[in-house]
Amino acid sequence: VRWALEQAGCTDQAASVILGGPMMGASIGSFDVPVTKGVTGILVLTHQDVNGNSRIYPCIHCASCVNICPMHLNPSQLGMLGRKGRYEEMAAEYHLNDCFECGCCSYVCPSHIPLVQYFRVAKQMNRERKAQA
Amino acid sequence: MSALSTTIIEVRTSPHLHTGHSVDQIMRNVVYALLPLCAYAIWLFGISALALIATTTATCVLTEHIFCRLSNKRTTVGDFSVTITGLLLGLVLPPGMPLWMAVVGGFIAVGPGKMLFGGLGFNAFNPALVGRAFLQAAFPVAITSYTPVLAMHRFTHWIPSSLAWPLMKAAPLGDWIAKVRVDAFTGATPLMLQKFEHVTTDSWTLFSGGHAGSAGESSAILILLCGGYLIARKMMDWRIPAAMLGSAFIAGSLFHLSNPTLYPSGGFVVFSGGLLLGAMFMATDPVASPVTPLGMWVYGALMGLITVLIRFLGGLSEGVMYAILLGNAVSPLIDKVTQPRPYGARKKAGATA
Repeated sequence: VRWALEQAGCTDQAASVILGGPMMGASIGSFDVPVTKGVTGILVLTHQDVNGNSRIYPCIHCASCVNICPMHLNPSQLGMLGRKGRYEEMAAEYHLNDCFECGCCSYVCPSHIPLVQYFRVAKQMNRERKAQA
Repeated sequence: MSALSTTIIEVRTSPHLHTGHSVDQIMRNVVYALLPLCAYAIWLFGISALALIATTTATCVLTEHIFCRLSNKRTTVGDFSVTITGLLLGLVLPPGMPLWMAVVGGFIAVGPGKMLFGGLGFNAFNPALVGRAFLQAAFPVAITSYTPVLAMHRFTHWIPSSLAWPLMKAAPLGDWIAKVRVDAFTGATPLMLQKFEHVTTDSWTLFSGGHAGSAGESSAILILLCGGYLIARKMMDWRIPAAMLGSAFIAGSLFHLSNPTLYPSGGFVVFSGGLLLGAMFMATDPVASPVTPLGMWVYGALMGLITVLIRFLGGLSEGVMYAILLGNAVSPLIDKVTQPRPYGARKKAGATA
């Protein structure tokens, strides 16, 4: 990645480097990561891109996330349960495992609630609990 | 050494971008959409309407600020949601409402109606309507004392009831109305005329707002325009007002067909009174309405139906307020039974989605 970015003329304004696209790509912690076959693109964000308005408001039930969700889930309800740590209820009653973490809900949320991030944590916790049982 | 060697990069989780919409932006736009309504109300009713709207807004903002202080939280006045509550409360009261009552209403709306529930996002009911419902119960005479529009000297003289002292009897409005009114304008709202005297106001008057009523409910065109602005900017869901107006129209038309002399037509039902203002700006309050697409239709239709039932069969001439409060009360239930069906899932036998 270091070589690729140097060729592209990337300067030290880089604040975050992402392998893949802006919605589902993984951000990397070091430039010394190889570019493998699965890397579809390298995205460099500047400090300006990263430090947006990030104050988290309470959910105002605006339903933006419900309208945008490609799986027709209810991220609003899932988010509230996720905040309370009710992960099993999320999977059992609100189809948590149908979520494929596209990130659209976090993208549109006017309250800046980290919805998809909650869902990742919830899925991981559920997997661990299942493994223990 | 290249420039990249010393650069520190941050590891973050996806999605890495955001639309940039935020709650305070949406709320600010609702305030912009309400301002033309306020301006028109002031044009129609003069200095009293101006003072009324300013009073309710100031009281609401101050109440929220004080509640935040008392609970040692950062003040939430900056998100503008309380400004909307204040403006809306001013717009749904009669313009001659005594100002001290407006202060009481503003306090009740934001204090018990919103902050005791936990502030923005947690209030079960639309705060402005909580305030109005309280005033309706506490001061039933003042809240049904409407004054005519376009009165003479409205920018220099107060409606006499505006400045009444707390707990004193307001000056009777009859003499004053007789003195200042222009031609045939009376203090009765089109709904009162319809209900108690069976006089139907013509539709142009309803559209342009040249009739008595609450400060902000007068002009149908203006409300539609302002609501349309919010819908066009996707800051309000179009399904709720569509469902509410649609169901009120259908229910009103059915009544009209059953007895044309007693009940007005569906169009009159939709364009008179506070239905448009309520459907556009109060029923759509996202906090107290359902989030599921089907739920929004059910919620809107229910409120439209209740409005018509209260207007035609109940003792009051106007039922929008109670219809919306009732809709707010059942919206968590509606959400519960209308959960969306995940993409690809089969319909379960007996499932509503």
